[in-house]
Amino acid sequence: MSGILRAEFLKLKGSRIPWICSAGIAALPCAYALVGLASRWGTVGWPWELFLAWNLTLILYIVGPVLLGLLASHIFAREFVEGTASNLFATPVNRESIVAAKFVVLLVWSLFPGLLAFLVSVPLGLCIGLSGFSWEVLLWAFPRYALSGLLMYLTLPLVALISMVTREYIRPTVFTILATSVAVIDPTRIAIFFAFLLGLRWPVLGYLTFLAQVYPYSLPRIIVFGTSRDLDYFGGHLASSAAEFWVLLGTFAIGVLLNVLYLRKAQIGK
Amino acid sequence: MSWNDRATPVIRTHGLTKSFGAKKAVDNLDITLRRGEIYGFVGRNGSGKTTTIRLMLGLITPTKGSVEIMGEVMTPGNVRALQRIGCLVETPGFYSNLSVYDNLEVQRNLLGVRDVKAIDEVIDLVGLSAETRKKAAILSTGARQRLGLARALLHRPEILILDEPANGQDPAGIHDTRMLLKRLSEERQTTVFMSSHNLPEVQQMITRLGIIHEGRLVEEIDYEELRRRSRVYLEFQVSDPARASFVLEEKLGIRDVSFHEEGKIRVYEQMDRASEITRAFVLEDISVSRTFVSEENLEDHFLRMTQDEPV
Repeated sequence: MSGILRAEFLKLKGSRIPWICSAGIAALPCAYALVGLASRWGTVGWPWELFLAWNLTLILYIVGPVLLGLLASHIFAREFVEGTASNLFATPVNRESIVAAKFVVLLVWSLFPGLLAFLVSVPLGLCIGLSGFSWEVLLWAFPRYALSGLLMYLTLPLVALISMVTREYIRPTVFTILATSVAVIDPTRIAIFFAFLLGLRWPVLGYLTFLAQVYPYSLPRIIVFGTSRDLDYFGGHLASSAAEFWVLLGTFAIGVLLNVLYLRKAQIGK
Repeated sequence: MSWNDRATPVIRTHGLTKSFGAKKAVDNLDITLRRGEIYGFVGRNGSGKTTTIRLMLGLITPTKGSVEIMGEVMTPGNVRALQRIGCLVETPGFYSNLSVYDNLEVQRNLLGVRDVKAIDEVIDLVGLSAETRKKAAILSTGARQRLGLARALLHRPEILILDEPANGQDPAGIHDTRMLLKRLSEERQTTVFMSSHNLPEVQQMITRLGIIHEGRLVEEIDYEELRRRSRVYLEFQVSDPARASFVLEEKLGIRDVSFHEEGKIRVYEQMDRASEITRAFVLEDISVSRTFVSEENLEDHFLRMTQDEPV
């Protein structure tokens, strides 16, 4: 297994995609700081809490899932796009090990951007003169930034599966954008809208709204902030409800299992 | 059963069939390869060569029939069977961001080959030493084929399954590949199954030839027949082949001769003496009912066999 892992890490040597994803996420604080400066928030005492929390919200809601989705599709679909799949799957290696190694590589690269974003945010915050600096704020933010990558990572197996089934980059990316958009708009509202549109009544409507509350793409943010309400960053504690975490973990486990089952039977080539 | 025995089948397909919808890409294929053989699998584009290779490697599952690799039935991801095989499928793909060396390093890690020098060894074998640091993305087609071959050889496999290995190579590259495969067959007793749509390219190295057309194996030609058919010859149909043989050998000194059904004798040397040979037969009371110079070589034969409409 260590050889397969080494091979999977080596495949990304010199590849721009992981760095683009990491830089994209880490650049968010810079962009946000620039917007803040331009609108003169900095001069009226823009607080550290708001800066760090908004950065994290944008990472967890929009930029992170999309860029990590792109990275996942790159890792899983590239074998088909670059024509290396025939050789890879004719190599005497368990297909399960290949899937496992790819998920390990994806995990490492998913953890990196959150940490990088934190490392960028702190000196940037000091430079632009945010108000209310305290070690307490940093201690609040650091585990959340560190955890953000892991939580987003847990949603990625479905993107990996779509990448392998479609054997291209576009459809998994479109899926990621759609899935992320639903999280941003609010899955419960969307569920109710479609239920009424289709004329669904209780109890189907009830099930739908329940499912919407555990919509995987919303969960990383809910877990990190301990609340689903906007701008209520300090209202909850980290992973205030273990249920959300278990749902996310279940999503991940089912996703990985589907990847393994698919690849076991996958026909490589025409 | 000893796999070192040259008579033991190394690759065997039983009624191998693969359908895509209503179309049979491979139809009831029975092929047996023995240790050290170089089997040329020749057919036109779309005849079913690559599908057969994918079936042999377990990349796709057969609709009917099976493939055995050294007694192991091939199924998708059968590690035990795949350990014996080095392969090159169609135009080989590589990680474009990696160099030639790193692409081989990926394969070395996947295969669990501990010896780092194995990479330099295969690079030397296929003649890629000057391009070790080049990115795979900028390699020529010929160099990509050679890199694919290097990747296939990395774990010193007992079996090589190669799909059009000469594709895109220049004449020198084709020659080098030919010499390399011959050497591997002779020195390591590597069994080689190679497909091609270009018969002259493979004719000089193979020990057996299979012609595939529309998914069916239309003819298999062994080494002797291959050599015979690759040569131009004079054919006589005579009343008494035994006496004719005596005349040819003792009176005319012609020894490169073969005998066939219905009194047919083929002469492979001194072709300019056709009238002299006929005269000698007549003088010995051997009646000659037919004489001709072969016009069909192996390539013509292949083209005829793989034509959709008989001429």
